Amino acid sequence: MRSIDARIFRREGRVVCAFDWVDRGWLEQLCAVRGVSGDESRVADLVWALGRPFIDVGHRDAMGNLILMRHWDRPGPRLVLCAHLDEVGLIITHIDDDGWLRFEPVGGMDLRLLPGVAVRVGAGGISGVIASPPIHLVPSTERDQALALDDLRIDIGASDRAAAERRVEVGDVVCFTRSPMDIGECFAGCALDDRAGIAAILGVLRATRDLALPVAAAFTVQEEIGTRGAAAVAAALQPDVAVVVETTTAADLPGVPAHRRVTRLGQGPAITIQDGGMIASGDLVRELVAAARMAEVPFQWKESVSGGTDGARFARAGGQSAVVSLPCRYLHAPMGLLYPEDLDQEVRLLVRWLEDRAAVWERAVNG
Amino acid sequence: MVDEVGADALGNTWGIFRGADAPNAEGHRPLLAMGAHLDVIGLVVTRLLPGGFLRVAPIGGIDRRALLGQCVIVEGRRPVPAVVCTVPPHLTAAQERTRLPSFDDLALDTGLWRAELQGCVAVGDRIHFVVDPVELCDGRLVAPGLDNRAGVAALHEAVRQLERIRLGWDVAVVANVQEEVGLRGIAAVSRRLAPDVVVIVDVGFGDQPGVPEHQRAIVGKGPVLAIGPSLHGPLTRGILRLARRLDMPIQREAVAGASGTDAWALAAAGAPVALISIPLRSMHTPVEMVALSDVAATGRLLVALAQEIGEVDRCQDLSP
Repeated sequence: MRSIDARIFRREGRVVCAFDWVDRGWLEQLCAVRGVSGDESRVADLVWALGRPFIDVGHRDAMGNLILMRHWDRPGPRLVLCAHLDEVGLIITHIDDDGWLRFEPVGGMDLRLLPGVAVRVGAGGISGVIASPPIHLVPSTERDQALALDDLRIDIGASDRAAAERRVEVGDVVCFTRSPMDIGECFAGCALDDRAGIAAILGVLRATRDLALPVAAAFTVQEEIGTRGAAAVAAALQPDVAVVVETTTAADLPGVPAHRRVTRLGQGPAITIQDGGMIASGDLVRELVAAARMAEVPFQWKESVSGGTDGARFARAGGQSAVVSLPCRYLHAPMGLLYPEDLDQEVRLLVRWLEDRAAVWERAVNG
Repeated sequence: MVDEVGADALGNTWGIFRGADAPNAEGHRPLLAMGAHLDVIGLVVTRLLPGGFLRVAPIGGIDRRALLGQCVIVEGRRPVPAVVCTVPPHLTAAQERTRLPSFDDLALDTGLWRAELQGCVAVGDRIHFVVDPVELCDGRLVAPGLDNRAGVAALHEAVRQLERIRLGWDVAVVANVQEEVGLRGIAAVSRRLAPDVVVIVDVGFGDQPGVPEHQRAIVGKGPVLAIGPSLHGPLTRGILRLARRLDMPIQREAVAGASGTDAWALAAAGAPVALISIPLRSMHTPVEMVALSDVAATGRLLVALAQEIGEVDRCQDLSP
């Protein structure tokens, strides 16, 4: 297991403490707050409260995107760091006569993860579960068959439609129950995609308060249903450079061959060459790699051309764009895992990149 | 408090309230046994893998459809939290996502290095689900393991009330083991206690989509009395009459063959057996659900039965 050896070596060889560059409390709060696509305001409020000390001005646009800016009117290339506020979830589509709730996924989700999961419904966070009919009634030849969306209902305990309608409405969004915790040496939480990216950007903003670069942190809505918030942000800000801070699949799991693992926990942040929506700007990738090498930050390549991020929107707006991702296991599931040192290394990488950028600009201005 | 407590080597545990009735001519005192199984489904560690992963096997008929991505606790030297691994969608074709991995391919992720894992987890350690119990609306409780902790809770409620009641027969309250792996515990108890009448308290299929109407009981409408060839007719009818007389809620279910409960395993006891079930939804998943009112009503029915078992027995001429 090469990845494990690398982790152990790194642990012995380095002195980066977990949660040095990102407050654990930020991540816990961010993972605890509900924010399915279209219902991101609670997350935006929290990010505003956490990020305010590190910026000059901030605003929310009509879609709900939160933009925090620093030195934005100064001369020089305008940089955007971007992470999305929303998370995948479900939406109530119908209330049955006997009080059962039907739903559809919001964002991409493996339906096999849903049966037997505890959820919260609507603005009030009504407790419910995704019911699963007893396996005893399934013939033994069909027990390998996953349940389909049509077989699944949310049960809030309501005895009939009227009882259900007093508590929920069609259109209410549903999220997984949330209790961030430690699993082994990993931080486990709900919606690490992309609350971990938000936490990283907050860490970067805090560590670069003294840099006189025009920087904006864009926290976008509706990423999970098609990077819609970022489209508005990219058009409004027209940044010269955008780095999207995301999470990406770590499939370093038993039974998955080495070439299909995409990324591995414990080997630092992942840099994207190309994904389903964009080709990362080559110059920008080289800058990021140089920053990683200078700061002695371990990094890995995202070894898969798949998925899409807000980066595609910035690329289409005409600036340079790249994606730096935190490897996470079990994305779009009720409980994801990240390795805290990876998060710190990601912040160190981005901080060093900003510092290098500032130095280059200063040299250019001062001749 | 019960008058006597007992346990056997298998782990079955019981308490006995001594009744006031005089023994019969052979010196025999009639005994009613009320049993609920104590065990719950789960997983067991079969192998430690590099990278902090575990291979597991099921204990009992765990529902694989409700397993992926769940959070669990490994009961190792210390409690070790873990997640049931899921392979991300980009590695699976769409049609694969309609199939479930077999237990051979399932792994748990403890997030621990192997060296550390070996210090705190061993092959054979049991694994249980972590879902915090939560009360939904209309008095419904969700928790893992309500099959059959709901039945145990009903028995416990009965015990609390029986303490204050003068009984005729002796009444044994039994918490038995290993039901989920093949109805093993109750057989040993019945050999040991040789009861004259047995009532098994378990859970039954509640009303939910996917359960046919003829196989479901309504959650919140009271305990379910099973009627069928393997269950003692006169005793069952006696319980039904008792419930009606006392105006207690009761539902009926017909059981053509095996009930899938401890009641099925008691043929060798040679005693009349009845089965009372608490309706439960999402059986053998981490989010089993019952109505609290059904648990309480089951407890009350058991108390009434313990009080009146002499009458029920005499009316139906159940005596040996």
